[in-house]
Amino acid sequence: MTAAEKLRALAEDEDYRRKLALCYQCGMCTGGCPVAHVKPDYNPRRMLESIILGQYDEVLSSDLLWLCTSCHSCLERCPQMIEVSEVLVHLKNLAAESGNVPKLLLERAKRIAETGQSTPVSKASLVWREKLNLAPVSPVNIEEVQAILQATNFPGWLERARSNNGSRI
Amino acid sequence: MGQESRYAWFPGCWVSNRMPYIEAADRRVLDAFGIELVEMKGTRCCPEPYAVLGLGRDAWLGLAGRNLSIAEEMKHDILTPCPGCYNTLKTANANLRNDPSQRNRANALLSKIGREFNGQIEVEHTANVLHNKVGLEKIASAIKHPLSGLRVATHYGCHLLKPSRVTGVADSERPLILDQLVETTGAESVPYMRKTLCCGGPISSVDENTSYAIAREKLLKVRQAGADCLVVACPACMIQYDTNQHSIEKTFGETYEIPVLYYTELLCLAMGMAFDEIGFRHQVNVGKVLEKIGVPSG
Repeated sequence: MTAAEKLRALAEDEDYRRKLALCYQCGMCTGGCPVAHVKPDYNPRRMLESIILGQYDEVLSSDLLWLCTSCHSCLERCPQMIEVSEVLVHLKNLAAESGNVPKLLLERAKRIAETGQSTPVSKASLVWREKLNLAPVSPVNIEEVQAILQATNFPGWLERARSNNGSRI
Repeated sequence: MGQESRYAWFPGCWVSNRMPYIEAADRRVLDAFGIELVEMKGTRCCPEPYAVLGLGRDAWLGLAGRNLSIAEEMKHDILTPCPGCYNTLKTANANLRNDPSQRNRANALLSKIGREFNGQIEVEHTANVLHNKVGLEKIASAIKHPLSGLRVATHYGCHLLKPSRVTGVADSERPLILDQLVETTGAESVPYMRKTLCCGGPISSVDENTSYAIAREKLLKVRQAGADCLVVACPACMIQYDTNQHSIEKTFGETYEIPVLYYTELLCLAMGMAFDEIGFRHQVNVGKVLEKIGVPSG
């Protein structure tokens, strides 16, 4: 199944459809969105509309998806209790599957998959910790981290996304 | 685990490897109030809610479930100084407790490493523990150097507050705890516009200009309110407002020069710890804050 077909299946799932159908396009999500405020192209209301209207390819191929900061203002403010930022996570997951991932994000995900941490331990940070009388950080049990990731679709799409060269961002 | 004064300490990637001064400040303050922190060996990333959750929900759930299961094994609630880690671990904890489908998927992943999620521990952030467990009265009695006259703009960090169904915050648009914690030091928490605005940090690696434009808006409002500094409860917001502040100034051709402190650094100063001991290493000079509260910068 392609990502767009998966999104169709999700949008046609009875519970999901019933939830999204509650959206009356008031735009509270967008009015309170920190990103939309400075970048009007980014519009969560319009993204929900796209799903409702079945424009799956369009919404999944948009770079704009990745501008959600996940501040959850939309989720808090929606008068219909739609968890907009959660819907955006579903969209991001499906967009990732189809290779639409910002390159720098892909690098961070790769770093986490390879080292178990989003920021590497630097020599400077070790010296600094010592100066602050903090014990050195203990090593990550990377075998456990990787065993979990191997059992998900994480390595597969990381590879796919890499060969697709990520999105245009 | 109400009486427990020992926590499984989860500083996360940024505090461990990039901002150890936050760990040092938290440890000093918590130690002074008799709270013991036990290291969670073998852990580091919560995992972070942008790259990992954005790319694959089950990977995120599995890795968060692993961290939770380690704390369960230690029989301690988790304490973290990072709202990102707090939100990931608290959300995953709630999802895994309440949704059998997610719990089964996570436990299938955890079985690969001989672990299991049982939902036996809670997840806390430093600010919540200070406010709810230590309590404002006890903190007030430990203040040796009241920060009278200091005007502070507080910034919580979205993930400490929202979603409120996860964090339990009564009103995420009008939060109180950080303001009360700041006022306990003798400083004044000043009202300002756009107080609960996101820092924009999570998207700085994807669209720097948009990320900086969001941060700029807050910095302008803080300046307009005449605050002496911004006090945050989140290392990621600290990076955005402090580490990136000069880049934001350059991007917009403006000057803000707003010192940024993590809350427990402010508390260390009010508890009479010498500036040299605290280990500040900020981008924006905190000299004018120290001058105002009469602390020698050494």
